[in-house]
Amino acid sequence: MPSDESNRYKESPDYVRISAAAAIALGFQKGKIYRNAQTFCINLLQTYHDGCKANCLYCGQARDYIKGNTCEQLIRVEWPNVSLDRIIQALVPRQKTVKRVCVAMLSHPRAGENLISIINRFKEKITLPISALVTPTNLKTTHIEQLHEIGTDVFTVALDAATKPLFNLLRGKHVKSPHRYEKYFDGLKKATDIFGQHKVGTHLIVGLGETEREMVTIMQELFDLGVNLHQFSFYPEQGSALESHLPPSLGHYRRIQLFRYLMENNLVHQEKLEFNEKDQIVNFGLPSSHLDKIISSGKPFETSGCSGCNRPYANARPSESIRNFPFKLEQKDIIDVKNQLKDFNVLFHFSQQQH
Amino acid sequence: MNIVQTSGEQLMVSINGYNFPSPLFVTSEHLYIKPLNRVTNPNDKLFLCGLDDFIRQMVGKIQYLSFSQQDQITFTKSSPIFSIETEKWLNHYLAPFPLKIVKRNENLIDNPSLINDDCYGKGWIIQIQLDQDSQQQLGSLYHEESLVKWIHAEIEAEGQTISSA
Repeated sequence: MPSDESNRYKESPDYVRISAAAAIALGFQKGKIYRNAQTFCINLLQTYHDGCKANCLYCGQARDYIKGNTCEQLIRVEWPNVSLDRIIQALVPRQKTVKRVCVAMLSHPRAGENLISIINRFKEKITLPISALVTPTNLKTTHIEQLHEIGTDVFTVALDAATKPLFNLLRGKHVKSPHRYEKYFDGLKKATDIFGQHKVGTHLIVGLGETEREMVTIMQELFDLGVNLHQFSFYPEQGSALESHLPPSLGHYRRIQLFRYLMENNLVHQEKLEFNEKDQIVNFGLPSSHLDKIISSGKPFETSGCSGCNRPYANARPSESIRNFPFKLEQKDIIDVKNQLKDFNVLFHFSQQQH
Repeated sequence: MNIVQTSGEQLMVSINGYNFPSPLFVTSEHLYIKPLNRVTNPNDKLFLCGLDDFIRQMVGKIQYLSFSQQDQITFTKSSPIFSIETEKWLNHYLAPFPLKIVKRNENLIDNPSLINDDCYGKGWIIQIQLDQDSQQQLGSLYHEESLVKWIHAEIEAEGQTISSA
């Protein structure tokens, strides 16, 4: 860390990190995206000279694992550090091609105040919807109220883990991380009171050691609270504690995607599902012809989350099977997905031996 | 467009900062084929093959390279020869005509970014041998004036303006 004032670390709120795909979309760097996928959401992340205070085992920024203060990698890709002014300037003429901006907090004492400041600066110059991806650990109720007042479109909390034991094991007390499951859940409840039903979302990562039954149970509980589900597939982040662990099987992931779509469209309730002895979904409770029509639409397998956010190749390499389709599925994709749904292999996941 | 003499004997055409040594033959996938100037048999010439400067700049940092069928030497037209992958992009490169791979650049397996650093030098991907029939087909690839014209079109398709310098 240079001590020279002119070389001082460029940190939030004046600087943020930008995802590789967003940097390409704004013309900050050259790059091509496989199958001509377009990026519609500008994903940004706060940055601080002393890094994130949390220690989530699956994250490339975990306090005990990060190398230096630079965010080498997050969700598979590099995130260059760019001034907020430059991003706003690039966004102004691109408001027809870009559909959303998402500003994510780090776990840091200044993160709450700075999040409000960053979103305010966007609101002064652009009319695009803005999502706030928050860590409730560093957020007070007044912050949530302010975020609503300044016109934040969607309030999102990355709960990530499907159960309280997994949360504690991966990102809470067990790993000396400041996050607490209760605080996260409380944050989601407060946000639905302030922002309204289904103007709040949560990230859940499939494949952190939970069973399919555990995942759909929390999904239904959150959805019934008025929280939308943004689904991710665990990817072994290089440099993280879980770098050598496997992602969930495609069958596991596809069944959770399908359930989310059915639940969000009020076609199925979690209580109607049938499971096998491994707690895998074996019956969605719909006539097979109806279910086949839904699967053949490909819709359940497209990226879920805020409208306009498609995150191309965020959860898998381009050479691997696409987890969240950033575009409409083609016929060959639908054939693959149908085969994958029949995969009931259980891969080794973190925590299966531990919780 | 600039035509510059490099430190060696080679002429280099530079268009908007994208460089093309001469002579160079380029496929529509930006795979270049460059004579190695080593004739083993008058009928079978050796060539270096890799990604041209336009595509290596466009795709960003190359993270993975994998050779297809490493134990195979002879490849028919359109059979896969190698794949290139970045954080967000993947392409499977196919043989533009029948060819023999005489050498693979194994250094790229551990360090694929050599392609980004020096695509015509240390970042060459395969050394190939072409028989007379395949050599004749080189003329159907972009080269000389057709290469310049096509690169102009590619630059404009990316929304860039052609610099007159």
